[in-house]
Order: sequence, then structure tokens, then C-alpha cells
Amino acid sequence: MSQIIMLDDVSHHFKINNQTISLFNKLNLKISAHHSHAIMGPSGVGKSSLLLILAGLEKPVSGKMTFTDRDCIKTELALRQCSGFVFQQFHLLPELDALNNIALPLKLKGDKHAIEKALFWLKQVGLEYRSKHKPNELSGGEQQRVAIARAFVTQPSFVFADEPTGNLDTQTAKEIADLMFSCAKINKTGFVVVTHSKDVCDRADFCYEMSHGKINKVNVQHNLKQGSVV
Amino acid sequence: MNLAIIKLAWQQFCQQYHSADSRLLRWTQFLLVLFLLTLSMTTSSIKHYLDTNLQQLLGADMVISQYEPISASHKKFLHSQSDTMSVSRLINITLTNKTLWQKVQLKVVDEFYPIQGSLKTSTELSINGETTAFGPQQGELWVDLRLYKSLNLDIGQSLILGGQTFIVKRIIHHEPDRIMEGHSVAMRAMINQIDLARIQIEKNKTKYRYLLNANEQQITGLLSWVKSTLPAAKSMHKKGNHPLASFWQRVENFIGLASVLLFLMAAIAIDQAGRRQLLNQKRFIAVCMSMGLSQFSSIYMSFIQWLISFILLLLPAILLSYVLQFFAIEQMQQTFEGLAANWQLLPVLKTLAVLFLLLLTFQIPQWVEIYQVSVAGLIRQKLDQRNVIYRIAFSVISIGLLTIVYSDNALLTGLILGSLALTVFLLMGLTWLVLTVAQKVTQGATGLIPFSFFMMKQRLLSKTMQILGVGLCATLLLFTLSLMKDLGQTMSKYMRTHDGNLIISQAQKSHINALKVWSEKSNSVIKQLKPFTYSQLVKVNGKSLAEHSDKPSDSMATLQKPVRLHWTNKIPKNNQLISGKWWQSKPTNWHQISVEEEIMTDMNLNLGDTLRFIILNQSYQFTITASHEFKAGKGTMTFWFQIPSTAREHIEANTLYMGSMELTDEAWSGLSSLWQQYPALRLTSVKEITHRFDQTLTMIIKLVSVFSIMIILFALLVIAASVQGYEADEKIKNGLLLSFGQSKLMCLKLSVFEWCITGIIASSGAVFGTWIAGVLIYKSQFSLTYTPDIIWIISTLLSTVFIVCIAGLMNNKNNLNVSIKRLLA
Repeated sequence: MSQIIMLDDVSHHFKINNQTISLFNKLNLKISAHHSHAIMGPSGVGKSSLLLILAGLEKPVSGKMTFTDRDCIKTELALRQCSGFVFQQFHLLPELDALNNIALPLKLKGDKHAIEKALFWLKQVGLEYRSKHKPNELSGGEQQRVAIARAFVTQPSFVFADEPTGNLDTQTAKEIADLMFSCAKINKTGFVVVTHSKDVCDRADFCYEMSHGKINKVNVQHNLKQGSVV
Repeated sequence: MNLAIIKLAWQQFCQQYHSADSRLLRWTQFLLVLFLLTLSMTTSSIKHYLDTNLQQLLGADMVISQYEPISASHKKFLHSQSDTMSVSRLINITLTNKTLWQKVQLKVVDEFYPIQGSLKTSTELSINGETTAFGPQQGELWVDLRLYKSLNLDIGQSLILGGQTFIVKRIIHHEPDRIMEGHSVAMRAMINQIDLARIQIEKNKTKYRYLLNANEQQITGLLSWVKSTLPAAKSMHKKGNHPLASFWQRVENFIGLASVLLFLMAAIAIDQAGRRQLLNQKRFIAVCMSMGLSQFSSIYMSFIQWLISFILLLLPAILLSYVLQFFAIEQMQQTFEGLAANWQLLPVLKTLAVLFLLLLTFQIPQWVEIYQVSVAGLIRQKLDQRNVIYRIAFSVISIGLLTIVYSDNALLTGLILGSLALTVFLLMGLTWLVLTVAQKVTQGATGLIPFSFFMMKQRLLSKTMQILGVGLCATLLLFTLSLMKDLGQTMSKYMRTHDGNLIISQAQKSHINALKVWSEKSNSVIKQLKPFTYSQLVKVNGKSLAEHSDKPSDSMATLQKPVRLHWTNKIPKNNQLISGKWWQSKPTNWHQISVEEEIMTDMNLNLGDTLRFIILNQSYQFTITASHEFKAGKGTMTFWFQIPSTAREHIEANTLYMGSMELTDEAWSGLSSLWQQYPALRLTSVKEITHRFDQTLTMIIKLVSVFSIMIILFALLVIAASVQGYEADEKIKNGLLLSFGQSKLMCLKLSVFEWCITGIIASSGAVFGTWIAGVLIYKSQFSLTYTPDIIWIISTLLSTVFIVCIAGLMNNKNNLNVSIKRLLA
């Protein structure tokens, strides 16, 4: 087992106008690289917050998130450095064109071949002819593709996607899902997706259902090696 | 429907009220309204004071004054039109008592003086003046309190004036026609007109004043008679304006120009801070429109929302400015004795109307956008380049309007706005150049700096707007602060370097020999002497000055009095030709004149225009064939009007001289003996000029300090607005960078670096802008060479960069203290 994200007794809530909204309580979960994981559940149950905690982008109110690499405990920063995130609202930078949005994380890491690699990923998502277009000149589906390419371009160990097909039509949603799962498979990336789509869930190696502050495993795919997940 | 829209607008106003952007906008608009209202209230109080005092202090129903005595026939006509007439003369002399000396304005009065109001005098220092029915008797000299003290005089002592002995008899407390002097601080003395014939003083620049009692009908008749018969005369009456009012008008116009600068700063702050609020408002309107609200109603709702905010900021601004004007008036009371705060509704309403229109102008582009764009376009909030153009165009229009309303000096205003325009181009060019070159150079490299340059280059448009905001504000700040600081220093230094330490402001031919003898005796050196005569400009191209130009300016005000006319064949060494040719064709063509460039601009004169002057009651016409201006390095004395030497032969006039001397320290005490012998000799030490300059400067400094505080406040607001306006973009950027695995420290470093580059480009542009403004304005307005204090400029530059970085850093630090989820929310 190389890289694992583990949640131990994690609870989370937030306050709005002095009112506490509880999301989940003492939740335990283990996510490993090289596999795909889908999290389902009704709206407002805390799926996105869970995903952010898993990705090290938010701290839980109580409990612990641990990231281990070859049994060594690493920091949240180390987790973020080896992961990508596909946001529900894409969060592409409006001033940058599609190519430079994808190249952004590589440039930050000081990669001298950032543009070439970004171009490769732009081709992978089928948008090579849109490289010079800015986000407001792209459709929702195209923006989502750029966001996916940006998440995978650094060849991360994990990619987290927050309802990536939520705003898309059925056909485009299928294409996007195909794209993400195939990218994850080719790159042996741990892929965690929050979704409402049963189809997306069925394609994941592991599927979880969240409700009433708890999480339950729905199924385990047959093609997995034994002992690879909990 | 309308009520529903008003309710909706109110609701939207309440929701936006507590947002940081809205707060910043309110503060900017509040400060602008406060400043302009205080200015308006203060000036209306002063005008009211002047009007009231005029009624009591004019000393006559009508006053005619000029620098030549009027003929016997004209005098006869005046007698026929008026029940009572008094003639007085004003002469500038130097009065000495032992080793003490003072420049004095001597008033020579007849037996009818005063014809209205009360002349108050006393025979002791400590008591208030008592009303005196007549002026001094023969052999008596009356002096004002300041002169009495400064010459250390005693009542009953004798004093020699122009070779005759006078007895100091009374101390003058108040002259009823005092206000006619305008805003003069000259020390004063009074004698009887019978004594004038006995004393030997130079009476060349005597001002004759005819005080008349007349009813309204007689005044109307006399006014038209003066206009047609005495073109060089100035007439004043109780219903008209007077010199002090026009003096204040010019001061007000100068402050008006300052208001243009402040408004410019406010415009930048409003533009930067309003950026995000505009987006929110557009989104809200788009949603309303999608629910069936018409375009007209949307614009109406937006207008109502803006109107609510305007009215609500007016109330505290009016109250506070009302309080502030009391403080301002208190300061002014040192200059205008008896001045009191006075609430005048009309000027306040006028200012409010101007403010309403100006602030409204900033909203128009937004309403144009609502009118033109589809609902989908508004919701998508796609940036329309046309809107940027509208925004800039409306800002330029409003600033232009404000300038036209307030501007006193077209050249000065033009130079300031021109310098700012150049600064804008430079800042834009510099931003593009620095970011493009830096990105190209660092393209192959890795790390924080190349990445920063890459991001800044990609955000070129927003970065340029940000840099323009900070840069323009820094330019105005730097220029305002450095102007007053440099002016005093440069002026005194310059005068001492080139002109010696004593200015001969007026000497007659007979004085020159005496001066030469005295200078040899006292080891002093006469450095330069230039001949001139006094002449009164009365017509331009056949029209009177008032008909030629109705715009008030310093030049126009000075030309109401006789000015010096200099003759020379060669162009003076400290002058350079700007246009035309120095004395064209044959020397026999003596009707040629060269006019100083600033006067040409101020008075709207062109080559080929004709000028008619009155010299010793004779009229002479000249054609403008050249224009000249001051050239640094060879003395400061520049005449506004210069004619060929050959012209002198055709003009009947007294030749006077102007020049400068270098006195040794020992020679100063000997000056009083020279003056005692030649009281009309006008010598002014540079020390005295510096002293007078300092006095004026102190008053101006008070004014400028208030203005500087306002500018600094606005500068801080612009910086805050520049940071705040881009906060949302920064949040998303930071959120993304953190999600990419970057640390908070790295985000902070990146932010500091970006703000540092922003600050450096903006400050460099500001230094250039200030330099351009300094070179143009110092030279044309003050005839001085701009010599900036490099250390001072660098420290101001570093302070600006520091403040910009700190503001940016504080803002980013606050951002980074929240979770990534909230940053990306």
C-alpha cells in the first residue's frame, strides 16, 4: 500500500447566524491511491465538505485526517502537492486562456515544460482547438474539461472531483465521466468523486452513500484485488 | 409599481450597506462632498462679509480712481453730477525716523475728506479711536498704528518728509474708504494736500481718487461717462464688486482647481472601489429583469438606489461641513477682521447641484450598459470593452466640466491636466513594457518571480487599471506636497544667486547718480538697471479689457493698474523668443511690442493683435510682433511688455529704472540716509521679499496643509480601493494556489511581490508625472527652474511602495486566514 488518506472519527459542522448546522459525526473512511471512489447522497448532507477534508483543503471540526505515503505520515500540504481538484464551479482563472489555466499548477511547481504538457492534456480532453480561448468564451462542458485537464496535468496521486457532471446534459455528463475515469485509470490516480449520478457511481471501484451524518459502503467491484480497500 | 421599485431599491441599498466596497465608496463620496461643501460655505460667509462691509466702508456713493489727474473740464462735469466731491491722492514713499525706515502708503487728502462714514483717530496708543470730522491740518502727519509702532514714533515729535518737517499729530484707527485699497497690508500715513506742493517726492505713480456722493441715477450716468471719457479709470460704487471680492474670487478659483485634483482622486477611488459593487448590482438587476422588470424600471431602480445613498451621505456631510466652516472662518479672522460664519442657502444648493451632477455622471455608464445589454449578458457579466471606454469618457467629461466651472488660470489648469494625461500614458506604457519584458526574460526560469510576472502579464488589463489608480494618486500627492516645499526654497535661493540682495524696484534718473555714488562709498555693486515707464493698457484690438475678456485671471487683475513698459533693442539675456520676430523691418516702425507668453495665453492674445496704452494722458497703439518668456540663469527680472528703443523717442514719459544691487553687510545701516534724501527711491531687500513671501506662504501653507491632508486621505482611500476592488479575484487565486499544494507563506510572498511591482511602477510613473508637472508649471507660473529634492522624492516613492505593499499584504493575510472552501465560495 503506497498512499492512503484516512479519516478517524471525523465530525464537521458550520455556523450560520448563530445556528449550528451539523453535517456528519464520527465518520471513518480510508481512501487509497490507484482506485476510484464515488460518494453519493442527498443535497446538504456534507458530501462536498467531506471531499474538501479528504483533499486537505479544509480542517474537520473534530477527528483526524491522516495522509500516509509508504507508511510515513505526511502533512496536508504534501497531500495537496500530490493531488488535483475538480471544482463544481470549475474555478478557472478568467484572465488565463484554456492552455494557461491547465499549465498553471505546473508553472507553480516550476516545470519548464508546462506548456507542452498542458497542450498534451488539452488534446486529451479534446479541446486543442480552444487553447487560446478564455473561460467566458467556453461552454460549461468545455470549462469542465479544462478543469479536469488541470487536475490531471501534474499526474497527481489523487484527483478529487465535486459533482463534475452536475450541471451537464446526459451525453456530455457521460463523456466527462468517461474522460475522468479513463484518465484516472491510465495514470493510476486515486480518484474520488462526489456525485448524484448512479451511472458515475457504478463505474467507480468503490461507492459510498452518505445520509444522516453517516457514510456506508454500497458495493465493492469484482475486479479489485483483495485487501486493497477498507 | 413605482413604490414597489423604490422599496426594492431601498432593500438592495440596505443589503449592500455593510459590504466593504460600499463602505469605501461611501467614505470617498462623503469626503468629497464634505470638502466641497465646506469650501462653498466658507466662501459664501466671506462674500457676505464683504458685501456688508462694502455698504459701510466705501466712504462714498461712488469712487473714480486712476493714475493721472483728471482735467479741469472733467472735474467740472463731476461737480455738476455730484453734491459733494473729495479728491485724495495715494503715493508710495519711504518714511524714516532716525535709523528706522518703512515703506508707507501716503494719503494726501483735501478739506472735504471724508464725505461718508467716519474717520477714527486718537492721540494716544491705548484708547480706541474717536470720530474726527476732517483730515490732517497743514504741517500735520497722521500715521496708522503699525507704522507708529514700527518707526518708534511719539505723538508731537517732528519728522522730515521730502525736505519738510511734519508733526506727528494723531494715530489713524479707521479710514472710511479703507476697503477701496483692496486687500493691502501697506502701512499708512496721511497729510493735507496743501503740504504736497511743499515736499519733494516723486509723484509719478500717484493714484488719484475722486469720492462722490450721488444717487442711483447719477451713478448710472457717471458710469457710462467714465467708460467713454476716462478709459484708464476704474469706477466703483456701492452696488458693484470691489477689489477684495475679486481677490477672493481668484483665491476661490485656485481652491477650485484644487477641487479638480481632489475630484480626480475621488473618481479613481470610486472607479476602483465600485468595480465589485457594480457587478453585484448588475447581477441583481439582471435577475429582476429576468422576472419581467422592464429596462426603464431597472434603470429607475438603480437610480433610486443611488439617490438614496447620495441623500443619506449628504445629511452628515452638510452638518459636519457646517461645523468645519466655523473652524475655517476662525482661521480667516486673522486676515478678515470681523468675519463671521454665515449660512447662505443658495451657494450650498449650487454646490450640491454640481456634486449631484458629477457623481451622477459616474453612474451613467452603468445605466447605458443596462440599457444596451441583454439579461443573459448581464448575468454572465462578460466584460464589455465599450463600458471601459464609457467609464473613461464620462470621467473625462465630468472632470472637464468641473475644470471649466472652477478654472481661473487656463494655462495652469491645462498644464496640470496635460501632465496627468502624460502620466497616464507613461504608466500604461511602463506597465506593459515591464511586465512583457520581465515575462519574456524569466520565461525559461522557474520559481516565484517568473510565475508572478506570468500572472501579472496575464492580468494586464486589471493590473494596468490598478497601477493607474495608485500611480495617479501618487502623482497628485507628490506634486502637491513638493510644490509648496520647493517653491519657497528655490525662490529665495534663486534670487540671492542671480539678482544680488537688494532690488531697485523704482528709481528716477536723478536717483541713479546718487545710487552710484552711494554704492561706491559703501562698497556695494549695482548689478543691473533697466529703463521703463508706467503705462495703462486700455484696449485690445479696439475693445476695452472687460469687453475683450470676461474671464478673471491674475494677469487681468494686474492689468487693471498701470504696468511697466520696457524698451530694448536686443532681446534681454534672461528672455527667449517664443513666437514672432524681435523687431521686424526698419527701426522706424516703432509701434511693435513683445508680450510675455503667459500674458498672451491668459489674455487670449495673438501675434498681430493691437494694444492701446495710456502714458501720461497720451494714447499709443502697438502691434504684437513677438512673444517672449523667462530663460533661467541670467536674473529674474522679466517685463510683461517690451518695445523697441526707438519707440522711446516718440513717447512722452518719465524714464524710471528697475534693477538690483549687491550690498555688503555694513552697507545696510547706511540705507536710511539715502532714503531720507530720496524718499521716492524704492529699494526692497531680498530679505524683505523673503519675509513677505514667508508671510504669504504661511497663509497658503495653512490652506495647502488642509488640502494635503485631504489629498493624503484620498490617496489612502484609492490604495484601499485598489486592494479592495480586486479582493474577490485575489481570494479565488489564493484558494486555487492553496489547492494546488502551495503554502500560505508562498501565497503571501507572491502577493507581496505583486504589490511591490505594482507600487514600483506606479511610483516611478508618479515621479515622472511630478517631474513633468514641476518643469512645466514651475517655469511658466513661477519663472523658476524645477530642482527636485532627490532624497525627498525617493523617500516618498519608498513610502508609497511600502504603504501599497502593507495594504495588499494585510488584505491577503486576512484572506488566507479563512479556509480554502470559503476562499473559493
